Amino acid sequence: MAENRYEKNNRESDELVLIKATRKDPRAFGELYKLYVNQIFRYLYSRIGNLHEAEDATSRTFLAAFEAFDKYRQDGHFASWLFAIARNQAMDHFRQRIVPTDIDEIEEITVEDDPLNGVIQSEQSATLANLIQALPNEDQELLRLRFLGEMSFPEMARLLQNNEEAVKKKTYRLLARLHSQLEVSNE
Amino acid sequence: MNEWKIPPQFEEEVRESFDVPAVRPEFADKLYSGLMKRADKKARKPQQIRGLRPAWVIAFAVLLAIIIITLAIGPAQVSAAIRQLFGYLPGTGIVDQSVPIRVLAEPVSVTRDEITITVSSATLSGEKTQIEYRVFGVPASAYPDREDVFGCITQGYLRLEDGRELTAVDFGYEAVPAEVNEAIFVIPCIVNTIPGKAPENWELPLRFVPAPPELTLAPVSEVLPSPQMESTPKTVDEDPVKVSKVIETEDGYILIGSFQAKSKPEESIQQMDGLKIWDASGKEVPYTYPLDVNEAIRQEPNGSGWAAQFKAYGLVYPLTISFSGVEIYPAEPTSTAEFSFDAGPNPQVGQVWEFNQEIQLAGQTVKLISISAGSRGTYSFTFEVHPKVYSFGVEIPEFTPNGGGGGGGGRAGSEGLSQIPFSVSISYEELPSGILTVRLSNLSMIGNSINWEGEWSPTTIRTDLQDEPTKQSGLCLTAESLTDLQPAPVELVNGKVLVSGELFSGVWGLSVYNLDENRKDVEVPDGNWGALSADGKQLAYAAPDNQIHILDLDLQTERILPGISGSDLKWSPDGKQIAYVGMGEGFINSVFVINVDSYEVKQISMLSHQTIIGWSPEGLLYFATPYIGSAAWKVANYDFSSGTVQELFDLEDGTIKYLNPSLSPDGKWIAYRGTDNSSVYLVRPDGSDMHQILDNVNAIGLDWSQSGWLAVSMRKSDSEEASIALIDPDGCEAYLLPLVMKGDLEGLFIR
Repeated sequence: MAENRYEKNNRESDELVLIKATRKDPRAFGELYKLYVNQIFRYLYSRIGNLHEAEDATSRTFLAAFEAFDKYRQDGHFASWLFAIARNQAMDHFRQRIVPTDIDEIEEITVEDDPLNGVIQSEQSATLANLIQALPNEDQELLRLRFLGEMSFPEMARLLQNNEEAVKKKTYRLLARLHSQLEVSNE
Repeated sequence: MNEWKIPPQFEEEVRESFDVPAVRPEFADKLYSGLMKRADKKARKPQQIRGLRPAWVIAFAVLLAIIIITLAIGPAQVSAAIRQLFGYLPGTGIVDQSVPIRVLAEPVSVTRDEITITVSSATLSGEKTQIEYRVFGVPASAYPDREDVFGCITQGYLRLEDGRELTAVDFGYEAVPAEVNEAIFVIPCIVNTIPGKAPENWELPLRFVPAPPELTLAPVSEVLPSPQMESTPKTVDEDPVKVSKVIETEDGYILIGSFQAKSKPEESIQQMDGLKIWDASGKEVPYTYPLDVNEAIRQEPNGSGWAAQFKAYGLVYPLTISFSGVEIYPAEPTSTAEFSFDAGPNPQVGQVWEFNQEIQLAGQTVKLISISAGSRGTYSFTFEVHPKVYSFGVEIPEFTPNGGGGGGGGRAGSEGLSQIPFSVSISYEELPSGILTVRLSNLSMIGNSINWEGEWSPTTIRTDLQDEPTKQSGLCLTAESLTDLQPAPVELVNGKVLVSGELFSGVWGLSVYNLDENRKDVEVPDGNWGALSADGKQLAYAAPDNQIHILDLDLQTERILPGISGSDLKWSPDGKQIAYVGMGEGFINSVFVINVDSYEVKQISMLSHQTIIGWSPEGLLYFATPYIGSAAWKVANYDFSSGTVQELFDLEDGTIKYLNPSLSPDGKWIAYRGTDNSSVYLVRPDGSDMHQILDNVNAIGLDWSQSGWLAVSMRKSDSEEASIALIDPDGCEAYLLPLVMKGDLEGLFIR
């Protein structure tokens, strides 16, 4: 995968250097952008389900992060900060579309737009996608942050304002449950 | 299945199941450019031109090449030109033919502390480097023993002589430069091992040589709109099903295309089944999903890509490629309904309000069952609706939500519509309190079924394809020949069949069918990993209490084997012992044996993630251990008299997902599922005569009758039903049992 775990481990150490560099030269933000653009886009696409709107939200996320970078005072947890902005962009997207709250608009995007419907997946993958789609939003969010956002557990914990061990445990319990359900469905 | 049984690759499956495309390079570069303009302005320095990431440079170069070719030679010739530009390498995908392919000069192995890592093959293209390696001998003690702890996840990389590091990319590693023929494959740690528990920082020196002449690339053609690609005008869509690339494989084709259905105004579409292909004679074409063309699939617009690989023997063209779905239409767009509930002054997480209240909305009766308060300011509403109701909106008008979603209601499946609960969750900054008015609106219904079709024919007649496949030695059944199976003769239709599947709506478990009476005798809700004893009288299974239970099928009495939990149960021929895969402190899914009378437990192996094959008549216990990082297993047996494990041979064709191996009672054959998760293979217990016996039949459950018939349950492609075939592995005589079931075979007893 393009966003492999080796990259993620490197990312967490590289970003400290880049954060300091960006404070000296704003153009170094471009390197931070390169580190995260794919993860942010994939996360937002999974939330929004439409390519162009996800790209718009991705643009807004990075532009907002760039403009607000002076307010970012920490030397770590950049991913938590960036994904917090992205989550806000996703929520803004729904706020604009959600009055009144219409589950059609949130969940039942047309075939063309829905990332879980538009692609013919393997039977296994399709079943898993259905199981994930049936999860509570909070659980789906854990999977999105972990597997599309490629966030580490400390980053997720900080974003979700929760204990790292609790987030980790919840994620793996969720995976175990999905795996169990998948096995029951498929085997 | 228990929590501790999460294979590492499952995380990758979760990631892929989201099916989210990578960011478009054009978009990413545009945004990068915009950010840099702002950065320049902020820095008040002259603009600096920055380079693209290498992958994007390649993408742009390819795009530019296609544009130049199109302009230079005209669209009609593009397909031929693409054929020369790109080729297909099985396992790697579509690659640039202008860069010579290289391979590993020879396999490389390194052994440390009885753990061996072997790089068995490598394929180098201009796009990426494919490396196959396997790890064997990692003790279970090197892995975490708690499900909430994960060991090392650092991926390997290639280190070049000049110090450059080539990291992992999609299904491989970054491309090795053409002038570099040596690299060190660095594995910082073995996946999921705890730091310090297994050797780290492995370095395997690799040497690359030009690919041998017999390694040829399959042609790839770009399909341009032509009279041969037509869409059946059954919907408003002009051309929803498209084929964009065609790969000519050794025995057929891989088609890559897109499916983009557009709904009528005010309506939307819910896609139901996956892709189906039919040939002009009306025969459904079995296909597989080629994972190595994922990159090409992702290039299709709006995440609409699909791919199918099939054999071309005997096909009558044109092929019809079809998708199905249903229309979703609004019932009465302006209709709303409201109800109130008192959340109290301080609603608590976990609090539930029960209702059973019927509400009329847009001519439909919607039954509110309950409302519950969850964490993060979430209210969850549960309704029951008519099966034709697809969705409706839920809001608390006085409060603005910050997220939410839900679903349920009618579901159009292969068996028609079935009613299931409908739930909606809405999140707020904090839980709204007091008397709340809830408004329902925008009810939508499930409408007509729709079928989208496209046609495809090869542009040229291939002379390299045979009309009839060369039948492999020992291959008894294929997807095509299944329809010719005759019912089993009466002398084979007796005894019991153990099935694992859905017992009734939402409840899974084990069932024992009585073949003599053609009825279901026993149901074990939530039972799992069932095993029938050799005499068919006892059923051992993993119960929801995490213990192994033994049910006497005649007396209907049950007992518990105390203190053990496990899966993959196999009875010894004399019914005195059960081999199982269990875990505990310091071991994960290792082979154990318990005496069912004395309850004495013996651990057979310290390795992990093993699966039991079965007991030989001589009392040897056969089991398999997976290699890490490769779809291969090592078969071994345990001799109880000497207390020794003997490693025997490698299974190269077995799936890593659910091998489901089974040793015949006479000890002559091991049956197991193939890497395609659909075929079945046989091998002798000494590793000889390994061959395919069933090809692409959706095989899942395997077991043997005492008289040597191999029983295989095969899922039907378009339903949850399965049928069971009996096959004589030596003569290929085969029959169908007169039993159609929902589930998979777990055990068989024929007198």
